[in-house]
Amino acid sequence: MSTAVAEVVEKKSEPLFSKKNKKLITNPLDIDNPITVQVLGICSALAVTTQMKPALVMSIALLVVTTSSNGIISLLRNTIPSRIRIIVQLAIVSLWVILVDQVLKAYSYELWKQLSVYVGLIITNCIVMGRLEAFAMGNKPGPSLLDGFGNGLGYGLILLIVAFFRELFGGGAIFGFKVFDAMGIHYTGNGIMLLPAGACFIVGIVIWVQRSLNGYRETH
Amino acid sequence: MGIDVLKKLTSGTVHINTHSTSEISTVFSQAKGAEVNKFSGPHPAGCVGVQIHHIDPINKGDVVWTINPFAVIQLGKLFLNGVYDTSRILAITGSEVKNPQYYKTYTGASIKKFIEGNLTQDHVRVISGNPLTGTAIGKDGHVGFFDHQITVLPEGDYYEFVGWITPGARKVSFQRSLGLLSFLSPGKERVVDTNTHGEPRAFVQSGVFEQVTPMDVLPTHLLKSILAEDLDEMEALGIYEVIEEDLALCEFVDVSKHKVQEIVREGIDLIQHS
Amino acid sequence: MKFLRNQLDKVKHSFEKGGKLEKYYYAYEAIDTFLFAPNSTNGVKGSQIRDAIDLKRLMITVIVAMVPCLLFGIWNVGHQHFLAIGQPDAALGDKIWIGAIQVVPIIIISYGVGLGIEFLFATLRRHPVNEGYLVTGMLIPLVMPPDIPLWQVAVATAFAVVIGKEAFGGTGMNVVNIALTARAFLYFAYPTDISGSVWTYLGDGQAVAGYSGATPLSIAGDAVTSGANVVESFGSFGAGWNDGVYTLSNLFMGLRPGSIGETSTLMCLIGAAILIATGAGSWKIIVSVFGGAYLMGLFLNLVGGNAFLEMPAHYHLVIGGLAFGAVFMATDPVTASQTESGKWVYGLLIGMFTVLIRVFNPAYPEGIMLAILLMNVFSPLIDYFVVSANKKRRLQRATV
Repeated sequence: MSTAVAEVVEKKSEPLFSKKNKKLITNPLDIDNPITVQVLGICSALAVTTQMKPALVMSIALLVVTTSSNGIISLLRNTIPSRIRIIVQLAIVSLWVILVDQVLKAYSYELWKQLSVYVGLIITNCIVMGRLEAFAMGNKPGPSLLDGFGNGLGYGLILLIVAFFRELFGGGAIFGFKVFDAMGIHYTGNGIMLLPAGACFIVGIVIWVQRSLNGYRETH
Repeated sequence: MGIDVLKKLTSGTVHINTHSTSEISTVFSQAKGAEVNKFSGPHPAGCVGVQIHHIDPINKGDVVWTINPFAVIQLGKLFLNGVYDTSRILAITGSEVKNPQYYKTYTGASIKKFIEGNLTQDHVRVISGNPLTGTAIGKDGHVGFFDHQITVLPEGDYYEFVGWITPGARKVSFQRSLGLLSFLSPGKERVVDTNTHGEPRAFVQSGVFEQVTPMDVLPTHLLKSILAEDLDEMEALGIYEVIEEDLALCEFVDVSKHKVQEIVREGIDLIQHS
Repeated sequence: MKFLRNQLDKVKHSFEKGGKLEKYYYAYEAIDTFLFAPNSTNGVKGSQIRDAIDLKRLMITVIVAMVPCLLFGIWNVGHQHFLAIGQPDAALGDKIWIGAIQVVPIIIISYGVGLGIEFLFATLRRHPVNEGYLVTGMLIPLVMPPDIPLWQVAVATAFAVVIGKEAFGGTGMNVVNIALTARAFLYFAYPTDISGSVWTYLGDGQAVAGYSGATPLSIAGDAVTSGANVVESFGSFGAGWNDGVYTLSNLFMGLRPGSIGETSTLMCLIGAAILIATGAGSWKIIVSVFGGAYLMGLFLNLVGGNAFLEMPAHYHLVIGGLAFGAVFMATDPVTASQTESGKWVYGLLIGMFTVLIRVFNPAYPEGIMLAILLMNVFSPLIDYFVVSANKKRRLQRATV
């Protein structure tokens, strides 16, 4: 986990969207991506990405949870005793997770059933806890909100990329719309894409592409 | 006498290693205080590294000095007569030499006059030492300090049309892959040249290194650890026990045409200077 | 030849450093060294002479070892085709013709796609084109069912070469056997096209009455529930249209449906003889795979419990692709265990796992593929223990 961003020293009258703060959103999308670089939250990335729709909903759910819990923890950061900070963080995260879960259950029951335990499991998602520990505990609410938002976006981006390829190659569809059939081509679904292994392959390829674009080198 | 000098010079044991079937001259058998070991078998049974490995393997921190019989004679003469004897018996060998024979000459002599007019053709490589471990020195070069042999081989800088598949018994090979028929007539003499017979490729492990390394050393893993510059691994895999010539045959048989001896030297240098 | 050499020399400079086509040097190098053994000589120091072997020759030797399987496979595809459509008296030429029509396009696709990717990555990554693919490109068709759609061959080859090999850094660095990766990919991606009755090419022909595409493995698998004696089921299978197709001698000869090259144990053994005689394949691995499978079969006979478990152990050696896998897949020098004693363990475990997967996992009837892939992954671990033992011996005699 990278803690580089956490060392940013805040100045008093910094505008919310300063260059430094914009980085909080853009970094997690690429060079500090929670999935492909920090390799966190892989479990749900494998589980909910067979189709784009659940992936999108899952991304939004995580976005809401990271953003708001980052914000709240940052507000409380000076009053939380460090000995029990994990349990406090958990309490706040689970508050948001339950909220999201209930909203989903109320307004799109089918999707909620499809996502099953994975919304609930956001509580244990390393990305959420990681951002709280690494960023929100040491930064002001404004940047913390942005940081949570950025990481939620970074997670969602990878989730959607993976789900796009899995649904396209696995079922020949995008958001349930049969692309190949619409073009008049008969498409045979690729079974490997529907297995969790398919997600592993795609996450691997995304990491490969990303690293060769960024000129990543293994350090000893 | 030379052996006595050696005993004075070292606190450890002096070993004399000879060929097992050759008649042991009384000089060796009567030398007191030295152990006589007998070795036989195909190359590299004659390499000191291999012999040491079988007598008393080198461990970290051990020091083993090796000396050839000529140098022992030199030492003896130095102490008996007070003269540093630089004379040397030199063998001029190789397929391109008209009259292969011994010459009596001096250390570091120019070889020009030995090979001039003595070659069957002009496009040759002159090697100080043997073809497996020697150094190319050119036609007017000098004999290396440790060498007692000059080998002249045809230079191999030619192209060969689909040379990777043409069958024939002409080319020497340790292996018996398709078309390499040299194993059918093992006694026949063949002319070897300096062509690489192939181009560098990725390491392919076919178990052939182990076949030509009569030591309890894993050559592939050792070479890999050297390439990775992993000092601990090199040490654990026995870098202290080998020098270039012990693994010279690996270089010869290597399918992927790696410069094995160069890699070994690199490793030894690395560990020496660390 | 002189002319060809001159032409190559003429264009050579533009591929060399500083030339216009510098980027494509390795593509050029591959073609050049294919046509002419290079004129390079050994360095000033070190070994001045070299063994006449090179990687190309080693690889072509392995391919030659596969030729019996390939030729037999082509004929057998035709033979099974005519048996299945009820014309057992078809001429030899017709059988070979039908077989060739099915098999040759698969080979062309496999080589075309694979070598294309190989050249692409060699150019992008600036490393020489390695000859390893010459073997892989032949192995892939031999483990395909004759009826496989060509586009699936292309997809599987591309997947295997890119994910199985290039992702790990190219030839010599792959963890798992590439040809088996292609087969496993098809197995999991398009299960309906590589199981059931795909093992015989029917074409437009109408299957004869009583025809069934069941393989020995699936018959044995069914015996688990039905309780029928496996050997008896083999004996009675094919009655009416292909009498005695699964007798022991037929299974050994390979006169049965299956992947193109895997059916004949006899042809695999001829290939094994070539590999061992030329030193291109490790006899230790081949022997220990067969040994491991046989021992495990015997052990399961003793345990007993259901019909498949009680199938005589030697049947395990002739059904499915065990022989082909043992001879050509397990011996892949890159993915096999690299230490001499490790090879025994590696081979034994492959044989044992093959039988275990066959017998206890009805979902995956062909055990050899998964067993080899599994042991490919574990072979570095086996090597690790062998190397550690070597290190330990060294440490024990060390005094400082």
